[in-house]
Amino acid sequence: MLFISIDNISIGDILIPSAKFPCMKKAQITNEFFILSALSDGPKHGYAINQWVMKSSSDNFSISPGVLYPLLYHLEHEEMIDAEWESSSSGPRRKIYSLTPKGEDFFAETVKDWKHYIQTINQLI
Amino acid sequence: MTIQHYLQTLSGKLKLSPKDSLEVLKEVEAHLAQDTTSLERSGVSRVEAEAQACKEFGDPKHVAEQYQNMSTWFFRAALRVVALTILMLLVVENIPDLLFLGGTPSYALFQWYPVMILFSYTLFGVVMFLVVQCLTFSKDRLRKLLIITLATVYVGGILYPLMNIAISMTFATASDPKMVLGLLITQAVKLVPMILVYALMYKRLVRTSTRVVT
Repeated sequence: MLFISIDNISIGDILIPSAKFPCMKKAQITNEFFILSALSDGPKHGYAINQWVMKSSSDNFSISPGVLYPLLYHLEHEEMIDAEWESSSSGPRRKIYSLTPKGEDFFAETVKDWKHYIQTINQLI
Repeated sequence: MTIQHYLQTLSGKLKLSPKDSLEVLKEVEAHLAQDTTSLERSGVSRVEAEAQACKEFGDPKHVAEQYQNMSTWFFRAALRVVALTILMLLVVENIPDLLFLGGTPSYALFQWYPVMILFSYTLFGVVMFLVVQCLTFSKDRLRKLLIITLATVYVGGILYPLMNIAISMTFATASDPKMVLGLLITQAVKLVPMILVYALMYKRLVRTSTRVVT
């Protein structure tokens, strides 16, 4: 089973013409995009976000916790996501994240750009 | 490494505000606890599970650096906000005099007490920087704070000659009427073009504030 951890890899700068796909320049195929994608499926805490990414990518992608949580902190400060502390029946309280309207719009634009990009690539191969 | 030891190490390396640091540590603790529980369910001992969870989370120093990278932009943005505000203050204090009276600016660095001026602006800058750091923690809020600050400076620049007019009028009966009249005309002449200049600058300031913060 192929397993790729892409904590520090970004292919967007090389492959994607950012003028045509402005949102992709920002999110690209990086962990931020995965996080927004996971949260578009409903509010989650950090652990669940990584579980979702792994499950949805058939274990091909994973986000290291040491990268995931700082990114969540960053996205919260960018007001792309909101966070609320929630009591847990087993263990410490957890922070649940959800997309803000700004995050939803940005994610929708990024997905649109990705679909357009994939369509363009398909025409070339 | 135990979870407590990991959290202590991370706590020593985080360079965030106390509130943010506390939240980060709580969140990391929750993740490590959950990861440990999952590993225990798969048959690993508690001690080994904690050590593995901590190892998978990452080197505390590296993790702290990731958080720091995220907050560095804010530090730089806050500095730019303060610099722009001080620049605006200098401009507001001096543009009317330079443009319309042809005289020396009233609070310029050209005056004989430049050290005091430099000290007061520096002190203002430091205080404002600390306030910005404490009150804002997002780009949008920082941008709004900058617009409010610049608008205050803008309005203050217009109110200042109005205040001079009001003061002049109160002393009209006690002083030389011709001198007071001259002062009134000077302030009124300054006011109209000043409003025009500031109106033109305001839109630029709003656009600049977005670029400064971003």
